[in-house]
Amino acid sequence: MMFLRYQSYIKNILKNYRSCSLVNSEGALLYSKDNNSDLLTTTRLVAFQIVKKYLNPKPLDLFVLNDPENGGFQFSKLLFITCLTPNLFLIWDEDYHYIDFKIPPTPLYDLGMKNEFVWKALVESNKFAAELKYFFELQKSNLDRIISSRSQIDLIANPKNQQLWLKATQEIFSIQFGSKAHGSYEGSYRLMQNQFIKLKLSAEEKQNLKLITLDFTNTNLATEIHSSSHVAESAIVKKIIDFYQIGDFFTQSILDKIKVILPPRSIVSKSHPTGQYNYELQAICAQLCDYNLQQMNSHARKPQSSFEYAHFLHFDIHTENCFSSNLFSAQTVNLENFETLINDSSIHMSKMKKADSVCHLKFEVTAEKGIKISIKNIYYSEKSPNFIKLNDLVIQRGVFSLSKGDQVEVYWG
Amino acid sequence: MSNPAIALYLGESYATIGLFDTSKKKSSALFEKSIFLPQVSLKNLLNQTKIKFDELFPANEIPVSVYVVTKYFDRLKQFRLGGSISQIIMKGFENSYTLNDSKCLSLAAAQLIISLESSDINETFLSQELERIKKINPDLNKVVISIPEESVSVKQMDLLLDFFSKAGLKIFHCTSAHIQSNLRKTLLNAGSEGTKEEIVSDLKETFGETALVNFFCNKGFQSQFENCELFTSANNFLAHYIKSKKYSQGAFFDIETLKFIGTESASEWKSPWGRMPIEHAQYSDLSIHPFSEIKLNHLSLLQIEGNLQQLEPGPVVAGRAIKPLVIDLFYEELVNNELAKNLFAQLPQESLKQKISNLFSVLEKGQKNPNLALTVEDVKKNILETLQNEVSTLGNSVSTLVFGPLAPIFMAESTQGKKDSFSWTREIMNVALSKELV
Repeated sequence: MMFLRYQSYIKNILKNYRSCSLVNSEGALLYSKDNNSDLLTTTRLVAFQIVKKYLNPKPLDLFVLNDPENGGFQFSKLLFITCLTPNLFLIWDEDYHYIDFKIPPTPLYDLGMKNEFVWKALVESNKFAAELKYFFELQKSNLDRIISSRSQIDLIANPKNQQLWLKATQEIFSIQFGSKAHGSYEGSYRLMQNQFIKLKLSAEEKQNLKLITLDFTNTNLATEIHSSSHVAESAIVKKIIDFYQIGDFFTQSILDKIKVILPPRSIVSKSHPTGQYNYELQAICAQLCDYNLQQMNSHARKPQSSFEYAHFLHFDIHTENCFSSNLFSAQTVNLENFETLINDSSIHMSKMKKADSVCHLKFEVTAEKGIKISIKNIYYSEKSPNFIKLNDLVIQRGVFSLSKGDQVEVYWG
Repeated sequence: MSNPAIALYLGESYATIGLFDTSKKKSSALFEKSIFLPQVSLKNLLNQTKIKFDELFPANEIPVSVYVVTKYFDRLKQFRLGGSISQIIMKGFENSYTLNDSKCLSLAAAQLIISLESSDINETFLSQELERIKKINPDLNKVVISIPEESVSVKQMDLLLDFFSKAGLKIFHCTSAHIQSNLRKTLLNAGSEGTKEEIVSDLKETFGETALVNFFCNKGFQSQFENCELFTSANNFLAHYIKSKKYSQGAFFDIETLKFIGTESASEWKSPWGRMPIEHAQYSDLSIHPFSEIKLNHLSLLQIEGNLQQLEPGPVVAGRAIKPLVIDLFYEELVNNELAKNLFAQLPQESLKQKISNLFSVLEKGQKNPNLALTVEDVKKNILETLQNEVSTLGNSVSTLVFGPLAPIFMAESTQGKKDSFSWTREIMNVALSKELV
């Protein structure tokens, strides 16, 4: 069994998923990919452990959860856990923006059959019952497509094949670990007054043991802004994987070589009831990790003086029928579904311009009711003129209900 | 009386032409030829066909019908377009179509924008602006007018259209300008006009100005269409073919593409330039492309380069290239494949076989870690197995039509679906002659 074949089988069955992980019955990670802006590898592993421990999944069972204080990420991010064979489990996540309540680990399907009680309580009573039903059934249909590839699943679930695959990925990690600098570096970011996130990264080989340590020891205790430890872990683990260029071979063999130290109840290790700061804290941790990696591997004699956070603006606009997620950063502008708001006359644009890397939007709300704007992060920086204004007043992180005639202006450059 | 007609498949890397006499029922091609475009030009192929045409139909006086299915426009998918296009747009909306996703490719040059307010619409202002942008690009020959109807009067719009028409620019008018996806579509129509005109002019130069050139578009073969429809021509044609064989899905294996096609339509196209309202058959490219390079990656492992297709100079089997591609792994099989034999004249040469063998041998020996080393045969086996698994997974237990010139190579051992012989020219002519879609 060559590793290439094993990897091809996994990639084929997971082709339609953007964000998912495969694990075996011992919880060893066999494959993971994170192609969305939210990163969830370790979150998915926590969700799996919770379901495995308390609900004992059997083949064809399908569970869902979203509780940020219990293995979830945020309410709108649904994590699905299923058992493909007794030795193979698939965990994936999908956004569903009209879920705004907590779902504990819940069985949607038992042995392939709808759990009628759960569907009645969770789906049929929902305001968007038809859409939610379609969404859950789509997940099941995608899963059925995988399950129909029986021979491929059996090959992936085979313990001997898993062992060979894990061994191959361990070798690949060794090659890549050896190709980068060893040593340590640390950086910090001031989140608020007296609130620092400090990350020390070290890559060392001692007595043939290769280890990457990410140490948040001096990070402050959580006050207002915080997230679960698996949220920060997912972000930094992804950075490490990308930096060492081992994304296609990301397994437990590699995860075991990454040690994350998180002080209890700190900014990066205290779960938040809604997970509303996850995206922002992932960005900070990922950037800190990237800074440390770059500095450690830099050929320059003097390192860059201090960590500089690359600000971004992330805001959602939602109406009764449309959810638009929008991102402005130094590298990219992505206005997902924003054009739908224009086309269905929820908003009227008076400015929509991009010139010389400056983006400028101005619109008036034309929808009669039910439109909200939610700013997800602290985007403000003393060094930049960027803003988002509601009726000419700069607004910061928070949720704002909009009325017909309200003017919103975004400037990002 | 004879009635000559021409069927042309113009792909990204190769073209196949067939000359038919449609006055005869169920006629086969009187002349058929395929060329590999990096080595032989389309014009050359058309000239060879014209010689045969004159031989077979010396007294022909009726206009020749040419039926074209194309994938050639896929070549544009890696480029920013609009280098010779000016965009007329309201002030404050410059590059508005790019905000949806800044990672998408650009459709218009920012320097060639004329942004205006309704009070600016007069001959003096427009002349000054045209002079300004002509200095930036003297070859500018197209203009996209994207002004919401409510922003200007009918008279002002007429003035705009009249001004640019008199200035000798081809006008592309976006009528619902506030819808950004429509603006992208209009810009794409303008950006691909030159490529379409080149093809049409090559055909008309060869077969006469009276030649009736029809492209396969959303509603079958059409002489009038939007240029953006040409981006989906080949896929729509294949979907139509699958449907005609009473299947709902098919796996198509060609020299330049391996894909899974459904017969259901999607109304929105996620193009490299952003989303556009273009109806097209749903499809997904299989994970392996025949023109992907086989190389040693950063881990010194043999790997198929996923993102870049080496259309030029093409595969080693074509004779000139020195980078081995996926298709080169199948040299032994290609030697007996009709399309490959037609495209690659050097295929039977022993020296070519040796060259391919040497190139792969160098790659095999370049692998540093013996525990992870792969043989070329491993990679080949993996490709075949991956394709079969993919077709099986995408097929989802529904019967699948397996077809295309390379289906016998890639799906030889598969038990998936029904295999079917397919010839571009024959099927193009069948569809052209059927009343259903013409």
